[in-house]
Amino acid sequence: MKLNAYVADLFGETGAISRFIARYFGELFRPKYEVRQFIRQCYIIGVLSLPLIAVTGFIMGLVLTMQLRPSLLSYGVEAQLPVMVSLAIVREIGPVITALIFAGKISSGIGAELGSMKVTEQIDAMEVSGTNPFKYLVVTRVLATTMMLPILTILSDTIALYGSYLGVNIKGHTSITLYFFQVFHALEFSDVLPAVLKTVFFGFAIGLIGCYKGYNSSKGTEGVGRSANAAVVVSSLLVFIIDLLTVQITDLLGLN
Amino acid sequence: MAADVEDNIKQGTKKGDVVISIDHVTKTFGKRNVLDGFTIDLQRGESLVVLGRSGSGKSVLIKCVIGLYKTDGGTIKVLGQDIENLDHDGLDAIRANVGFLFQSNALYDSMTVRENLEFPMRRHLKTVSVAEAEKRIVDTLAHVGLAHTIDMMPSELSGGMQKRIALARTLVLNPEVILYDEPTTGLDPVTAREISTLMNDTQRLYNTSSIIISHDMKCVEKTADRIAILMDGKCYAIGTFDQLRQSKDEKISQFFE
Ligand SMILES: Nc1ncnc2c1ncn2[C@@H]1O[C@H](COP(=O)(O)OP(=O)(O)OP(=O)(O)O)[C@@H](O)[C@H]1O
Ligand SMILES: [Mg+2]
Repeated sequence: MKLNAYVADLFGETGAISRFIARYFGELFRPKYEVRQFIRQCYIIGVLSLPLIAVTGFIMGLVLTMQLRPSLLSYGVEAQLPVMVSLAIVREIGPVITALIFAGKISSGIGAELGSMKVTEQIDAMEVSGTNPFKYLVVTRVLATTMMLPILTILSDTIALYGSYLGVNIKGHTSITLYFFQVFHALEFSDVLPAVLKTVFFGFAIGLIGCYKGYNSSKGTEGVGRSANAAVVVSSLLVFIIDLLTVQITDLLGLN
Repeated sequence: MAADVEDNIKQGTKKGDVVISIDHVTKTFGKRNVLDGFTIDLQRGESLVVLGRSGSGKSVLIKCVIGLYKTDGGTIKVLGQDIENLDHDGLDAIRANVGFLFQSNALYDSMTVRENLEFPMRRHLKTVSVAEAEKRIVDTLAHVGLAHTIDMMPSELSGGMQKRIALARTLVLNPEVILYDEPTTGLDPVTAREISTLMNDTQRLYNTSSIIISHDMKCVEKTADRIAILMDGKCYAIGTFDQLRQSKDEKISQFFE
């Protein structure tokens, strides 16, 4: 009985999210574009996330390098440190860590913001003010997260490589030219492109789930909290699921 | 289409006396008939109060009037236009002429008071110049007695002030009709009285007609020309304050105790 209700709930939710996605694409291409609002969201979502992404990226590169060194040393391939670290960062750790931090900051923020707008009838107020709230609130935000996360990921990867350079130099001496020569020699186009492409899907999922949870928030301040929380949980989970799927797809396409 | 509707609004409202006609409207959520054949007309210049217990569907009723909810049956005509048959632009034209004061004020909390008032103007009236818009904002804020708050954020204002700003935001469009959803609920008695007075002043100065949802009997007594009682989804009784107060029917008199 309980399981039945749970399964029904899951299917109901999946259906509702699918309709939400369909509505997003329907509204995305229909004219009357909220350009100003979109730019504002790109600023809030992209630019204001920069410090956090930069700090975590730097630490990620540094720590990863320090952790990998002993293992490589025991195999006698310490010289491969820049290569190993940069491959790990660019292909997997950079995109996923950045997406998870982004999900924690942005998805919950959007969930709480739209949720409180919903329960205080601000969304209804927009609608009676001659504005399509879905276009004004949802389309602008989802588009902004979809476009900003890839850019943030590239920045985060780059900063992580600098962190890694520092890590390499704690117990060794490599010039920055040599370090980046090794890194770029190791990285191939097929390492970079799929990794950046999947962050487009991460960004879409994070923005969309935040908006969906907020837009469908139930009444009361408690509902807003629940929306914000559910937004982070679901979008973080989706990041891993999309990661798993894209790895299978690039594998099948022989891009590895 | 929008231009047509606007012409019709102007003509229709000159001719007829009825600004809003709600005719056998039904609305169901799941299995529950929230509205079940509700019928009433709002006359020009009138303040019509809708009384009803919590959860009886009062908010649903006026949200149907403004097209935020779709009805399941019956017809609603606003300023001569059948709400259900309007396309998007037509509905917008109606909404520019019908103000809605939300129960929770619904001020945009990321915007200043000025931006809150600008928003509906920029969206509904594409032709208003910047200077004209600014003048309207200043004048309307003066009318509600809050000219000094123009650059403040809604979170810096008290509940009563927020209510006034929310009223100002509907008034900048010079609406023909205002729908008030529990305008005095949650306010102290003194502030509630001030809001009731402001509503009466607005009615006179802006020549509006209004539907007021309330269970604050002081506000009802002060503002109502007629009172309709919403019960079980229907219009159970209708009359002036004094008529209903003297009623022997317990279902009516319970509101006046
Ligand atoms: N979007 C919705 N989905 C499902 N049910 C709804 C929805 N909106 C309202 N209802 C139901 O309709 C009924 C009437 O709600 P409404 O908000 O109109 O009550 P009300 O008369 O305004 O009460 P209050 O005085 O508390 O504001 C309630 O039982 C509510 O649960
Ligand atoms: Mg209500």
